[in-house]
Amino acid sequence: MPYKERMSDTALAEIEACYALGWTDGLPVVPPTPERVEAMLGAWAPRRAEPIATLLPSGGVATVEKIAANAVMAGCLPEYLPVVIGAVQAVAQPEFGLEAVLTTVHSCSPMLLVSGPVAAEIEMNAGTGTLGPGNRANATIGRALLLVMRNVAGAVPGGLDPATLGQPGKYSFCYTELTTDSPWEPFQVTKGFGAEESAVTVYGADAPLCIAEMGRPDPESILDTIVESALAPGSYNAFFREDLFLVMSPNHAEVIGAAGWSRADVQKYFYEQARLPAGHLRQRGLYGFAEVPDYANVVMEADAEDLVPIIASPERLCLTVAGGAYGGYTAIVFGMGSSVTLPVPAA
Amino acid sequence: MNVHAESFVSPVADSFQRGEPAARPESLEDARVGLVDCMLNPSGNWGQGILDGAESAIHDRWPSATFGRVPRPQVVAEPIETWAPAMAKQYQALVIAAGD
Repeated sequence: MPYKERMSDTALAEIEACYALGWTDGLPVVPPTPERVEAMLGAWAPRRAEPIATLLPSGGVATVEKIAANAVMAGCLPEYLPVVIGAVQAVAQPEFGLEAVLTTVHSCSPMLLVSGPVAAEIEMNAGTGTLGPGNRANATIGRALLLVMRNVAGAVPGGLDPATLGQPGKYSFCYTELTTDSPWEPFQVTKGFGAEESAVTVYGADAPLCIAEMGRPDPESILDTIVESALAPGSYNAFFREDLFLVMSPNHAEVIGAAGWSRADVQKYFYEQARLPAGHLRQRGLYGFAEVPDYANVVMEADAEDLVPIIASPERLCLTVAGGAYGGYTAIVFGMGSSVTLPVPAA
Repeated sequence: MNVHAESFVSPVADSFQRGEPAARPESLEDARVGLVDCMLNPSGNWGQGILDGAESAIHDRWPSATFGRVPRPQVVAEPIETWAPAMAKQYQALVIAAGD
């Protein structure tokens, strides 16, 4: 049966109206009718008018109801709403630098890591294809956050979002850790939360770069391949030297963990090995174009042959474990700025 | 079939929190105007072109105004609470080129 005959005229007209109103990311949305928003609000309904955050660059106030309307449009289920609200609170923290992330010509965009029991409760996918399509929670929670960026923060491509290239992660970029197959404590524990506490972490991420290392099942070989692949002098990390995320497959994590390496060991190894000569860095990427931030002055002041780490400290390596059981891959997620972790709020 | 925006709960912000704009002088007659190149890439000289245009426009309207060029490091080296009052001692108005 032809598509148009399967959809009522009303349903299609509502979707088209959302396009005409400029509310969508280019994909069709679920129209935010009052009934749907009410269902999304659920226990949050009494707090609908409560401001959750003020979002730069527009200075728009993200109330619970505004967030719920965007969550409806993204296709979220009501049980996802606390996670989306927590993510909005997180990107609004000053240390995240939301205005810079949304208004840069760079491709970065808020990535969301969901940690703790809530991920399983809402049936997120931490396994096969975790960074890709196929799971409603992963896809729609990430999309809801980015629709809030468009509709409340004002990050409309070509408008306040001037990204030269953009990237697919500007539609949605949300995942969770495969804690059952990780040799290390869950990510939120490294940020001071308990393993049984649910948290959201946001990061100004570029598109993930998938790195294969399958021929040498030992920690140093795996990490050396990751390190050498991360030595991209044109990355923003090489200039700002801030957070860098790794999404390590269970295969890689198992090899490294079984050899007795702790998370801190991996961070220290990466910090010590992921270095480029200062003289080389000074001739690449943002160096020579942009004013060097104070904390990157080490690159400008070092001798040409001095090796400079691409992260300012070991803790800047944000190590997470996710993905399918088969295949030795790690995704490097370059990005900009500092990640922020906050608890998932309750209604 | 027509569908109106009123059919939906708008997902778009309808209230905003913005800082109060700085007071604007009524006239720049005899004023000293600071022209600040605050572009991320000062070596590109894009900010200077913008400031040239601003200087020309202000001069056409207030020929007695004088101008001073201010490089970015003077502005960003310290918090705005520090540099803005210092600038106010030298200039009656600032035009800041920013954007890359």
